[in-house]
Amino acid sequence: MAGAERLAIVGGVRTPFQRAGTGFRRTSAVDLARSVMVEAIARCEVDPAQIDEVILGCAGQPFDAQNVARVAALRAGVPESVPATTVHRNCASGMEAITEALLRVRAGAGGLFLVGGVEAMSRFPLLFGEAATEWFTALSRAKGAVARLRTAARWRPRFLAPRVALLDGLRDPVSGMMMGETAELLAREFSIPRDEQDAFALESHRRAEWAQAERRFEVEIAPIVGLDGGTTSVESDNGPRPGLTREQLLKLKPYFDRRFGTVTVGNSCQLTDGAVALLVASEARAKELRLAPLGWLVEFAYAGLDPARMGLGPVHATARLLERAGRKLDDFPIVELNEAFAAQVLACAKAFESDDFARTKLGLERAMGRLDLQRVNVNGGAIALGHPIAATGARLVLTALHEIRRRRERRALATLCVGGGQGAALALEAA
Amino acid sequence: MSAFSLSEADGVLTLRFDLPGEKVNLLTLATMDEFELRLEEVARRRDAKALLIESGKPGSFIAGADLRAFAELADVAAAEAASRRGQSVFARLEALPMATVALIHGACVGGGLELALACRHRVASDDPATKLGLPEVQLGILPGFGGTQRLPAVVGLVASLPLLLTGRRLAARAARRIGLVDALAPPERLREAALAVVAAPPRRGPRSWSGRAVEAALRTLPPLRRLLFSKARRQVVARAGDVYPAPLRILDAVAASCDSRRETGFAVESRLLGELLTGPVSRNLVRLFLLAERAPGEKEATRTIERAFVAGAGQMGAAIASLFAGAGIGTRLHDAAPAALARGVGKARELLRKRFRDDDAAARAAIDRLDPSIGRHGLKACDVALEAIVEVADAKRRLLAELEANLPDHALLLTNTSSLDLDELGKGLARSDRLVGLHFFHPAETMRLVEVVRGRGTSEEAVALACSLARRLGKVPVVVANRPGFLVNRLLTPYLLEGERLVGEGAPIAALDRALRAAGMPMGPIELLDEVGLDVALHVGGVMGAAFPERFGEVGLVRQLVAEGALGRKSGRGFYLHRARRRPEPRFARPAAAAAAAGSGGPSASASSTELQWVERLLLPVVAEAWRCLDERVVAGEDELDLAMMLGAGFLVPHGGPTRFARGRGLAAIVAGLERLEARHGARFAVPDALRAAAR
Repeated sequence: MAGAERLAIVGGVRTPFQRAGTGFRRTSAVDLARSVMVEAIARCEVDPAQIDEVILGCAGQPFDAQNVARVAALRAGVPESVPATTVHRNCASGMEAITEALLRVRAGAGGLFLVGGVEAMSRFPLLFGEAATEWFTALSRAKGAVARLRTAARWRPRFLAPRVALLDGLRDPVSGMMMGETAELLAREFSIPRDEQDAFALESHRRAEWAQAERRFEVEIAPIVGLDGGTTSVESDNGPRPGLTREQLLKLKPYFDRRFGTVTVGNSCQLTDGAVALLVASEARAKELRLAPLGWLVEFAYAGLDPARMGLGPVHATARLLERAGRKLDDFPIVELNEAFAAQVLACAKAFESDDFARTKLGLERAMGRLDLQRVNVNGGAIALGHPIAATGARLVLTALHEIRRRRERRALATLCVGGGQGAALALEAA
Repeated sequence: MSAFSLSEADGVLTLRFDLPGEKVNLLTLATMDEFELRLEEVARRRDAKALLIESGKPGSFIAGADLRAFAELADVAAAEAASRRGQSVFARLEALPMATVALIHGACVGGGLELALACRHRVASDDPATKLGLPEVQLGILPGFGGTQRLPAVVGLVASLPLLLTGRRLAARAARRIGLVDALAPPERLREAALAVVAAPPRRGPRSWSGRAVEAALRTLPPLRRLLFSKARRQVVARAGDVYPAPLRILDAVAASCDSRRETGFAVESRLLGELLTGPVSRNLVRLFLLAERAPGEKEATRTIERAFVAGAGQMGAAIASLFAGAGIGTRLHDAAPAALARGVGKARELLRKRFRDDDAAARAAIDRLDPSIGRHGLKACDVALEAIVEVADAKRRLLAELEANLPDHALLLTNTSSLDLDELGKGLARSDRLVGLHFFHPAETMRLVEVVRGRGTSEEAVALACSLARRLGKVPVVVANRPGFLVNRLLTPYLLEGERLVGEGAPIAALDRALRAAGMPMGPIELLDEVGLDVALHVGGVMGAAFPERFGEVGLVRQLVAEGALGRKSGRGFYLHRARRRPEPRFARPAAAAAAAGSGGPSASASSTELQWVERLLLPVVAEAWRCLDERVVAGEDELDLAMMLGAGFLVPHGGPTRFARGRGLAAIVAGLERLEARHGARFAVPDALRAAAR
């Protein structure tokens, strides 16, 4: 709704993003989150006691840190009196945290919020299967030596086979498809061949490499010093591969469909660890506290769609957003569209400019317009930088705002697809 | 007003100790009298099931005997009598017909623990505040109310010796492990735990069967006991020579406790307490304790300090940052070089883990309060900023100016400089009234002294706040003027330079260091140089030489070693070779001279006179320099000077520090000694006018 209250994005930071199993493989989600919270508070020069609530997105919360937002906030020195909540909208959890803050502002329930997202994908656990879990439970309940022995004798070697939570988490239970399989479906339906996907992936890496050389991320990244209580530091993203070639990408075999597939690990986003924290405020509070915002969240939209085709989420959500905000696709010179898979982004591009799609799927008279890939993910996207599930949404917002400021542009669109069949879209404006 | 109150419930008597007008319970002569009367009252109650003794002070049980009263005891007989009095009162406690239990929450040390030991049982709260110990050895005495007799009986010989000899305080869990307390419980449930222990008394002594076996063997085999004691004696002598008499007397008292006639053991304890308490070493240690207590600064005055910024993550910066974080202050540790910052924050975290090793949650909270910061963000929220970067004036000046530009108006600006002029560093600052030197000593986590340096423009408020901050960080502040070397480094200079000179003249370094340790120094000059770092010593020596060329001219050996890359312990080689066992570097060992000096078996007359000369040449110029410092008003007075030198350098602690040592010798004798040295060795031994005047 045009004219509705907007949210000041005061500022924020992110950790360097690290491929899962590398730099942050021993770092808990709590430690990642608290580092960026401390830094965000320091850089925005805010008194943590004035924060009304902490809202953090996290898709795979650590079992030993229930409500990771609360645990991280307390350890980051946010006073006990500040409540905290963890939110989950799969890949859009980082955006969910931000839009939740906006809703609270619009409801008059607070003026200053610490938001963001964190994902420690390296730390997703291995689980005992159901049969094994039942056996353990029975053993702990058995009373007396005889009963215990009898239960012990029921043990089977297959109990050792773990469930990999990460893999389970990346499969949509309703459609039964892995995320990559939904991308394969879109690649088939929208006729996106392998070499186009690889070309897109290569371009993502090239742009990220260039952005790193130009130190574009310096203003966003807060290096982690003294990792895991030791003396090493992590200062930059390690996802982008300098000097990556088409031939190297071509060598990779399709991962989700071995025989006829086109989606490989090279043209998919990388499993990654990272965290983002932002300070956001109502316009009035920002003025009161004399905080100069980096930019504004003006409007947002979430949309639901077929889980098997979740990759088209950005198209559905953007359609809703444009209607709500009274805008056209062309109004956004900068777009951050999360690169879950090259096939998925390219499918979205085709859907955006397809009148047929607009009419049949979106209930619109004609297509929203051409999505110029030149202005999409100009500093590289998740294929190169990685996709720590809940952190990504917040990173897209942060990076988009810095980019429009740099280019002296007015507006940016941040949008992503959400596993399970959703899309999220945020309309951002420069300060 | 009475300090004790007796109550009863369900046939169980409770005696509550709440000393009126004091924050903690102390055992004064008056309270001992009252306690005895109460015990007589309790003794008549044969029907009572048990007596529980608890404290009415929140967070503390009994903090020991009243030190001030004991410091005033005039002679050996009076001291011995005081000990016997305490022993007899606690003997009454021990002899009560019913079971007795001490309910311990908080500090239970010295006489307080002796009281608890006279009870049949002890229960303690499993709380970080609960600490049990017998720290009398740290004041040069021993526990004189039966502690040396009862502790070995309760926890066994093997566990009792380290506690008595080091005076360390145990946390509740550790106390339970050795059987010093019988059960742990939350503070609100101590009563229930006490009654449970009375109903089912646990076994005395070590909990492990091997521990019990050892104790049984020690009890029944006198030769084994003798072996234990002689080993302990050797260890004590190796560590501190015989400069401090208390540890050896403690061993004597404990040995007497193994004598089957109990009375002899207690009598020995009293006699030895009398000797020690009135002896010069204990008097000096007590004086040191009281001087440190009376130092300026109030912890409570730092309530407004919530966040700090420490710039410079080297050894000092890291340790200082850990002190801030450990004191509950949110701290940002900054360094321009990420690798140095990572090392520094790692070191700071390690220090915090060590400090809070008994309390995981506190360790985690302290580490969370410490954040590494590559940028200079967060200054606006800081109440204090401290720089601990390299000793280069330009760099420090620039950094201080940058810090000041971003700090809020009320913030304190501190520098850890050890050798630079505070006023020079403050040039160009808009608010030099809030610039104060806060000079820590290495290693900052353990050395208790902080020199609070007052610059020309520094306000009194800033000095007072800096002193209070030092207190909050667990340190003892001494205010000094902004003169070269401030106080401690300046007074150590003649000690170190003369040591270097003696080595140049051929003195073997091991013998030299040994002689100075025997004279009451914690380290001889050469091992101190190696410890400090020869590069550091060269730098400080250079600064002092430039400021006072007539006295502190360079000797040259240290420079030579530094040029060879031998920097002391940190580089594995200095004057000594620092390997598995420290050995003098062959050049400085002079075995032939050492053999001649040692003679065969015992020191010859010429050897000990050589050593005496060494001691004279090293200590007298320090005394002279001390009087110059007093005259220049570098420090407020002799007490403050002694306090600083003892805490900052361990200087002649058994003798009470430089000025007390000098007055003990007699200032006239000191002057005469200096004149002799001046005649033989030159103007650097000149007698300052202030000293000559004081000697008259």
